[in-house]
Amino acid sequence: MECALNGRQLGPSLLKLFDTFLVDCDGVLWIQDSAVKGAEAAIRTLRSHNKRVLFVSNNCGKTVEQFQEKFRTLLHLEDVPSRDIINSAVSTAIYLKNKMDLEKERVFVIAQDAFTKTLDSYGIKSFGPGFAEPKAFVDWTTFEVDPSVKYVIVSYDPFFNHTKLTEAYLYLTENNAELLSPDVDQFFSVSSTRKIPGSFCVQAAVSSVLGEDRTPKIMGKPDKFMFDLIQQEHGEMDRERTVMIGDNYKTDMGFGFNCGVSTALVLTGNTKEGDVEGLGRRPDFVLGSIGDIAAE
Amino acid sequence: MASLIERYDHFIFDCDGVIWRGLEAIPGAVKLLHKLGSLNKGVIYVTNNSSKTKQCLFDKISTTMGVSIKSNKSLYSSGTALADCLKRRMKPGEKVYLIGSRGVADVMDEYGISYIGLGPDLEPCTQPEFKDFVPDPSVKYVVGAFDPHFNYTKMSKAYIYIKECQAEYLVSNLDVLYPLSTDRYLPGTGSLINGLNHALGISPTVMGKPSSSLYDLICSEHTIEDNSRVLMIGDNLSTDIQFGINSGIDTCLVLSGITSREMLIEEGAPKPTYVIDSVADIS
Repeated sequence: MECALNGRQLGPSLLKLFDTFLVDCDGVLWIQDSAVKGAEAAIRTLRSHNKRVLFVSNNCGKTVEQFQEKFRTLLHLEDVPSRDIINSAVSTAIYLKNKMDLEKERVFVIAQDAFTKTLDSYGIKSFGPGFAEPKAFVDWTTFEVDPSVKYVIVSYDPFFNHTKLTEAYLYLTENNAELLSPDVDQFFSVSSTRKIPGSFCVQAAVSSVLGEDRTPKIMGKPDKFMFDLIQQEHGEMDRERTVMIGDNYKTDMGFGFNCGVSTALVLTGNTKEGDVEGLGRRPDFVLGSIGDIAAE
Repeated sequence: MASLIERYDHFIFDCDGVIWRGLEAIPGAVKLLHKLGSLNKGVIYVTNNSSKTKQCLFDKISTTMGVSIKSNKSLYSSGTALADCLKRRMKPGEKVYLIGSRGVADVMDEYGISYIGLGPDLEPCTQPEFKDFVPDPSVKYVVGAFDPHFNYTKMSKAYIYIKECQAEYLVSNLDVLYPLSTDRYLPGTGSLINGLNHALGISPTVMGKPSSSLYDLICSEHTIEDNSRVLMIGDNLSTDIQFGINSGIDTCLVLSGITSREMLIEEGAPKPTYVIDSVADIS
């Protein structure tokens, strides 16, 4: 494993070793609404070296347009093509578009409304986000399960409640709908001292009613499926010349390991310097920040 | 099967899937309960449905089903078990953060337990807003029970009380499914709470079945001289039958509810003393 904090000397090595850079966003390029120092310079450096840069994110709470807005305002990058931004809502949409009968079938979504907007842009009919009125048990006896709902997506939803859980359960059992999940994040860090349950916990509630043998198909990192879709859209990649840069060991580095590409962990987000020693399988590189890539 | 009536003095019945399904009595149930009453057998009802107050259960059994019961002393829900435990442990000024229904809250009121959190709650709503949430310092316990308003906000608040404030965490039951009707089950308490339990990485203290603390409570309120003459009758292997096993009493599984014959031979499944199609077979 390369040295952690003296990443500057690694910058040139990464430029020599790799042609394709798969870059996570939250915790790598920005933290909430502040840019990571040097992130803009890093992306510009990669572009000036004619590297292919694809942004690979599990954040399905934003549409691709909202990501582009963030690139504009925080990194002053005006021209990030929408097809170069692949989040777990996009990978879900591509999967569904290839599989569904778009005329006859619908998707029930437990997630934020950016998700349904993304699906909509691919011609996929979906519903679900927003507030759902709590129902008494007895009201469910007359609930009619729409047979066209053949897919259920489960992720972080601030409005997740018993009503949504029950509706998902009914589609999954009475329609034998396919269960998909964009990501497996267990916690969300709201501050440096506070974490709260994340999307995995919402999935756990759904999976517990279905039984252990029925788990969701994961549409985001660390599942290799997302890489297969990226290659489908962008062409086959030489794995030996591809690196995944991310801040989350489990999802970003896990993704790199699963896809057989190189891995570079940054310490500006989810993983801190003190965590590095205790890691299992080591990433190929550890950088203080993505800014270390920028040429001096 | 008449010998079952002769062999036991006290009969503890689960309710959903045993005596009734949703709003309908299981055929033969009422007849059996009348017979047991006429023979002066001890009849106790135990439900994991925490949203039923004793009054509610009393009304369902006596008014809706027409079974005469002397008082509500023979009625137990996971809610009453929770309240009893809290009552013994809580100090003045302490409060419960309650994930539960109006029914559970009524039970808490009956026992004089202070709580916050009942009803709808969407504040904070999104994840970033939780940064500014200030927990109530008098909350020392978190209770998880069936709550029609259970949502992401409540799950996150419960998590904060347990992790940051070291509140003690008790749940009514972990039944994953609730039998709504013959054709349809719904997610129950366990499924909702499971999301929280996954985040916590722990199994909470369960006050309802299969925990034997419920049996301890029953014994403290009824004269039961001989455990070998008590029979637990239920439809759920992991709650009713396991409860009987944990309590050291015989068990009778009925197939009129959540369990099918195939599930009996699954590896690790609790083994009931008897298996019958329904309570109608007892009389």
